[in-house]
Amino acid sequence: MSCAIPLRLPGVPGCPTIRVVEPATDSEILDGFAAGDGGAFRHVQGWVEGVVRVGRWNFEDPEGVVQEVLLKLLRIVRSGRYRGQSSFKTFAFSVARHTSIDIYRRQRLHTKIHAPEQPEAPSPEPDAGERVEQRERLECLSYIFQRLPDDCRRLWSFVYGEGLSAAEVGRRLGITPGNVRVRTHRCLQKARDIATGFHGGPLLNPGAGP
Amino acid sequence: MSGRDAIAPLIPFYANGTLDETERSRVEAHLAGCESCRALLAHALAFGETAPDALEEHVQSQLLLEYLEARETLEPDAVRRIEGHLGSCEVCRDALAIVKELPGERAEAPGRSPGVLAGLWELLAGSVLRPAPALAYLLLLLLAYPAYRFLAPGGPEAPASVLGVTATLRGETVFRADPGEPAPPAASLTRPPDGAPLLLELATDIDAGDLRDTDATFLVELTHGERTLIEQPRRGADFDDGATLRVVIYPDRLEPDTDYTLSIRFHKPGDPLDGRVLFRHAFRLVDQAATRSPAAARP
Repeated sequence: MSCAIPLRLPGVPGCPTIRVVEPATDSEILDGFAAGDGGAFRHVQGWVEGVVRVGRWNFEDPEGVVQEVLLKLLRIVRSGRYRGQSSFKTFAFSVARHTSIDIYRRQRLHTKIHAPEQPEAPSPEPDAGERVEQRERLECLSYIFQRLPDDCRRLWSFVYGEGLSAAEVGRRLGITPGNVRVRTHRCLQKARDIATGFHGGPLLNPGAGP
Repeated sequence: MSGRDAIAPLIPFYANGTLDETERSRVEAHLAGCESCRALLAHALAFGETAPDALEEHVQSQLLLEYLEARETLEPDAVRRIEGHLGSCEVCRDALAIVKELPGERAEAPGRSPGVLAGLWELLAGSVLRPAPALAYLLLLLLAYPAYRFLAPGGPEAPASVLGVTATLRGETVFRADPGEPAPPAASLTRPPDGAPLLLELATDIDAGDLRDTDATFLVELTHGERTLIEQPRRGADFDDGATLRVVIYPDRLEPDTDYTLSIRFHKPGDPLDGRVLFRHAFRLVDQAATRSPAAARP
């Protein structure tokens, strides 16, 4: 018997055996997703839809939300910020949920104040990619700031918000400038540690100078 | 104190431009050769980009999820602030409520899961392998096992039948169950050649008084593994005077050489036997040629 169609025909000698290999393990799905493999993408899309379409979010454009989550995941994975602290599936669920929260809140706010559509800004505005990056940086900073203990937040406000010197901060808090510097440094390290947990890895770009 | 330890506390103030000229030069000289301090500076600069007020419109969404799922990992100050915000922000409360209602991630995944064993391990690690739940499970098992042994309907250690039952087909005994005896091997019933239904007569030793109990139900079940083929509730009035129950089995619904189980389950709310299997016997259908007796085969 000849093999007219290149499909798997068990027991027919000479027929090529073609197996469609679906990604099965977490790492296979992750690798496939990063590489743009269709099967892996469908897997991840299924996870995301499970959050976006199952919840009572009442999204005006659920498909757009799914797309936004998938693109965010892709950006994180391709930039190397996902470093496997949890399974990729858990991570994808987490990103889907907090992105859904963000969009839900934006939508609720928009509905509440009936904000008019902003006209497209002319050329000096950042492009879509830069806007997304700016928004994610802001999210990351919010995440860090809100996780910090009160004393670090107070120092943040003095040092980064008001731009005070160590001597001035010390005068306000009743401690020495040296003590202010040590405390601020500890808070900065704490903030860096917190940043590593944001979306699976640090978002703030190191290497920039003043 | 090494160079890095001495310079790192200056970095936030280098970033906000409040160091004097000498300190500034020291920091710059150090930064040229210290990648770790350059990374620290990048963070310090990033923190200076945005006023804290702009970072507190809502609880950041990832933080909201961590508050929901891993509150113990958060600073007490952060928990207090989040709860304060939730108290005044209806939108965040609603978002949290929606997330709480979402099914777990195991329920969402289409296609294959990473593996049954991995899933089981995750489940155990999240529940019984933790010390406090493990003790609770153990205690529950210790309490439940004796109750299971005595009360479980049709449990593995329950007798095969509480009732004595003799099953006849066209007047011939095809199997018999004695109360308290272990389940006998599957009986062979001959499949009628014309596909006619089998009228099985189950002569039981149910007391006539019990059959007059109008609250009692006798559920006749024919099962194969997890599949139920017949499920017929009967009342005492459905038994004839000799406590015999008739069951019709359509052989075209049954596969040959496959074991089926016929059982009668008792139901009466409040009765100690409620839910108990009174009778159970396995049988299989065989084609006529296969069961022809040696006597019948003789010319």
